[in-house]
Amino acid sequence: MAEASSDKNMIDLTTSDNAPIKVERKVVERSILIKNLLEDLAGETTEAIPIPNVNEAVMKKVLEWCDHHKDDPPATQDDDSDSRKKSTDIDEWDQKFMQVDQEMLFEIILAANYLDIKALLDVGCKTVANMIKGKSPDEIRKTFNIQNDFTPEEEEQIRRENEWAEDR
Amino acid sequence: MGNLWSSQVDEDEEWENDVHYSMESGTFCVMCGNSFDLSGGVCNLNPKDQRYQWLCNYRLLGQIEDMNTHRLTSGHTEPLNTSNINGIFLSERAMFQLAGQADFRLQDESGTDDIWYNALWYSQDSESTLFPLHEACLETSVRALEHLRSRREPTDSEPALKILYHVLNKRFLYRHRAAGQDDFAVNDIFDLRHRSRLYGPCSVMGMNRIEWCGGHYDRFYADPVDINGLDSFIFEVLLSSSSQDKLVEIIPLATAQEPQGIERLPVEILDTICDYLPTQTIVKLHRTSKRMALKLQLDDAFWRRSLTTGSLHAHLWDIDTENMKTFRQPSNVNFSSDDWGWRSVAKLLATKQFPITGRDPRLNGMPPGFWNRCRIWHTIERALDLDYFDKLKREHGDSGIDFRDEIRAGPT
Repeated sequence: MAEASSDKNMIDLTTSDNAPIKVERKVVERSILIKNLLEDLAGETTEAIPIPNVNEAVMKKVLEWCDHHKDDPPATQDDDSDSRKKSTDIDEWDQKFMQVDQEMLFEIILAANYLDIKALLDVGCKTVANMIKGKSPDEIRKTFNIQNDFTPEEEEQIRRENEWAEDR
Repeated sequence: MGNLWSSQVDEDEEWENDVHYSMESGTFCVMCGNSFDLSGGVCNLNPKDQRYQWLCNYRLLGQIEDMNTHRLTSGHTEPLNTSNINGIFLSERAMFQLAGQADFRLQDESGTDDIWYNALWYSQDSESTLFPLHEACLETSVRALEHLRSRREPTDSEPALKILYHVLNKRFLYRHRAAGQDDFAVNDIFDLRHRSRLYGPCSVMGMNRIEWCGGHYDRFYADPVDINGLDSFIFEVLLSSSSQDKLVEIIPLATAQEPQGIERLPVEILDTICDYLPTQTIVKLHRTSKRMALKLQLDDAFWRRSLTTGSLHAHLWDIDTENMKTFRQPSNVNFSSDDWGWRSVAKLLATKQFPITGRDPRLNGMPPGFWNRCRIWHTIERALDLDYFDKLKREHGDSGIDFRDEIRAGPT
């Protein structure tokens, strides 16, 4: 495992493909997983923190987002999660940030989920939601390259069962 | 001529009382078909009764630049515009007077002078008119429009009130330009004077003599916004829906294929994505593949959530689930009981048209105001589907007028 930096404001990470990444502590602490880990270690380690579920390319992208948002105020408790549907509005910078191919988009979402970066996870999920909104099942399949594995009879049955809800 | 959704039309019925009056003057709320003054005499109906007061609360909706065209009195003062939407005028509460011509009175901004307007007025070179609309109908229509737009056109940010005005105005102009001189029903832009054999009259204007004498008009005059007993009605529907209409999933959903792309996202992330999607879209996503159907299950918990999020039942914007819990009794089991047929309830409450006969007995206790709300909601829903959303979708292949360009460009 790589040696950690002697500068306490800099954190060393090792990605799943064994790439070393040095990053400002304030930036990487956008990840609640890493923040808690650093707090638990309280500076008692000299080793780089392994990130076994995220590769270098995705980690760099995630850290780019964390760097842009490092001074954001802490997220408030989302108290309406179970009542009305949430807005899919996305900040302009985040919209541009999310203009990546679908594979990278899903990797970012998975990484945000693993690293516990709720705001990034929300942006990713909103991006996907906006790609789905207003589309028919066929259009959704085309957008995400989903293979329709229903037989025509099954498809007709599942369509009929929920037709009343789709039209509302 | 049939209305937009009737299967059968009977045009041989006669008008009655104030309905006849309203039709002849052509002055009624185009959204609900009710007049602005019940004192014309509806049998057994006390116009001073508090429950009919919503019919006396109405405003004028128009375009700012056309207000002078409809102004009947001279002067330099202007009425207060309560709308902050560019180009759109929405008055404070107006007063109505039917004296030869139907006129509406507004006060000027200082509240000292009266200004009279001829609403629903048309001349051959008219490009727009002024609509008198009940506040309750306006609220219901704007909510319906916002709901429809939230699931159809995520990029359209035009104010709902502006879209509503242009949809009404376009229908109004079309009707007047196509109508003959003596067509007294020309202002009936939603065909509310008609009746369907399945669902009955579309408004009081479509009622026959027997229905009038039978008092069937009452539900048309019920307040569609301030509804008494809505929570208890829905609670009763829930109670009587246990184990009804449970969906029997007979499709084998197991799949051996390696998941790719969106299909490899875990359920908790797909659930987060669905937090941003209307119920209708989640249903569409559910049926894209077996793996998605397995991950996004449309179980009773899903339909229970659809009631509380309001995305499927936007017309139930005021249900109070906390209040509904207070109706619980030992015999009622748990409020969130899985024994209840939430899918069946969701399906029933998503209905906005109710047949005259053979309807679900769970609807027997439906508050008249809820019935009226569904009627008005359905009217605007159908109109928006035909006039606005379908045109947006077909904008390159349809000869009809593109409302979106028109709305964005403002008044012609």
